[in-house]
Amino acid sequence: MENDWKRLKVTGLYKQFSRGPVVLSNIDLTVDRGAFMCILGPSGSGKSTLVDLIAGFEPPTDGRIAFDDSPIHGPGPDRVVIFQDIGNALFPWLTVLENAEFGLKNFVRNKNERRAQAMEALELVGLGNDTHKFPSELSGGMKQRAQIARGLVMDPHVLIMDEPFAALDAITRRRMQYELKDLWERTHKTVIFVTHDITEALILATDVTVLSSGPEARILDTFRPELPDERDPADAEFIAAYRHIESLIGHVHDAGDVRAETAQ
Amino acid sequence: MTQAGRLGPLYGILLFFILWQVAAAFIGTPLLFPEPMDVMRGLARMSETGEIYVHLGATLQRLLVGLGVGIPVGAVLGCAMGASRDVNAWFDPYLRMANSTPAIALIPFALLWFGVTELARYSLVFYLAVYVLALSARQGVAQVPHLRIKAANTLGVLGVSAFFRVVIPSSFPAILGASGPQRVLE
Ligand SMILES: Nc1ncnc2c1ncn2[C@@H]1O[C@H](COP(=O)(O)OP(=O)(O)O)[C@@H](O)[C@H]1O
Ligand SMILES: [Mg+2]
Repeated sequence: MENDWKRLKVTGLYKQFSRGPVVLSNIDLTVDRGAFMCILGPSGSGKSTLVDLIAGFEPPTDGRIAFDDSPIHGPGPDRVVIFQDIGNALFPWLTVLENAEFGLKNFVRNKNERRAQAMEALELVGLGNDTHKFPSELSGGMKQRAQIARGLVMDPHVLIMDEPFAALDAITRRRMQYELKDLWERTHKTVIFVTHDITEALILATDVTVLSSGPEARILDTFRPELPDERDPADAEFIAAYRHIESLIGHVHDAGDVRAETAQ
Repeated sequence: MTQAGRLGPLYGILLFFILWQVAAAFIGTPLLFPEPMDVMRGLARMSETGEIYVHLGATLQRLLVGLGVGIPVGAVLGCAMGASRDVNAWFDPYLRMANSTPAIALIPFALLWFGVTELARYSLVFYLAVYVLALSARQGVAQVPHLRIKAANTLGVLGVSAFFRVVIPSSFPAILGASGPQRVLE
């Protein structure tokens, strides 16, 4: 994989599961290197499906996903996914350190080198003192930090996060959002972050893409919210951006209702 | 819930001996149904002469050989069946047959085919171990959360490598905790 890539490009993407409805319809998306791209959409709109396609778990029905001009092939550590399901994403028979080392085994021969890299990633997410623990001994927030470390250690082009904080309590969730923002500011890793939480998206994003509700979800708008680096949900600009997104999604709900009524 | 107390199991055993004694008295034919004390005396005599250890050893050897060969074969077969639809399709009919055939029903066949030999006994234990382990291993492998395999894949651990590093360790508890081994020892 080329290391001097400039953007991840998704072009004309369609996804239909065998004999099911079309889930994603004509998705175009460009993620610049170093961006924090939030993909916002209502539940069931196809956000995880989009993640599965970009991660390479599922082939697109039509369309193309490429780093500049080199298309992706199947799943790989250049596009590490951080999953929402905190109960199953970590390997429960491995310690936090062993989890963080898991993907390195194929790439780093030297055991001490592996350990050092895993330790570095764990310290970056604040788990430097919990390396010997098993996942079952961690809180939800710590599990997600461990998962992030396990992904970061692979030094992926893009870190893909699928509603990573949705299963956490509200206070932990907010803390994790600011921790992640801090982490991104320190590493400037390219992130694709999926969420249905508008506030979460506006706290984190440099770029926002809004998906319509499914089936046949399409992109309603892609924009760069003009917000200060320090995001405050009480700021006037923040609220204006929030309203904009809400009107986009709300608009679609209205149209859907009208369609449903005329169909009856 | 009331406390069962530590002596609970002892009461159960005592009750067993009492019923045994009553039944023996009722049947009244020691050759067919000896009293508990006769059996105890027999055990004591065989221990003194050392005869019992010969028999125990033989039984233990049958179990060790039969299980020692049958458990790995069954585990590997079951894991392969859980991982591959094709392999599962080939062997599933045999597992279904085995599952609906009590091992006791096979004793006459084993004796017919192998005679009254150690091989007949090994083969019975082997048969039981294979099918019970295959069943539980297949189940264990099939029940591995799909997300764990995706997690391995996204970290660059794919295919056979993901199978050995994630699927097998994930299903280990199910394979080890097989309802199987207990049934084999019955
Ligand atoms: N493997 C699959 N087979 C068939 N339909 C699927 C599959 N995965 C997802 N879907 C369908 O795609 C739609 C979008 O699902 P998903 O991507 O999980 O949405 P989101 O993550 O936005 O909540 C849903 O209607 C879901 O039923
Ligand atoms: Mg989802």
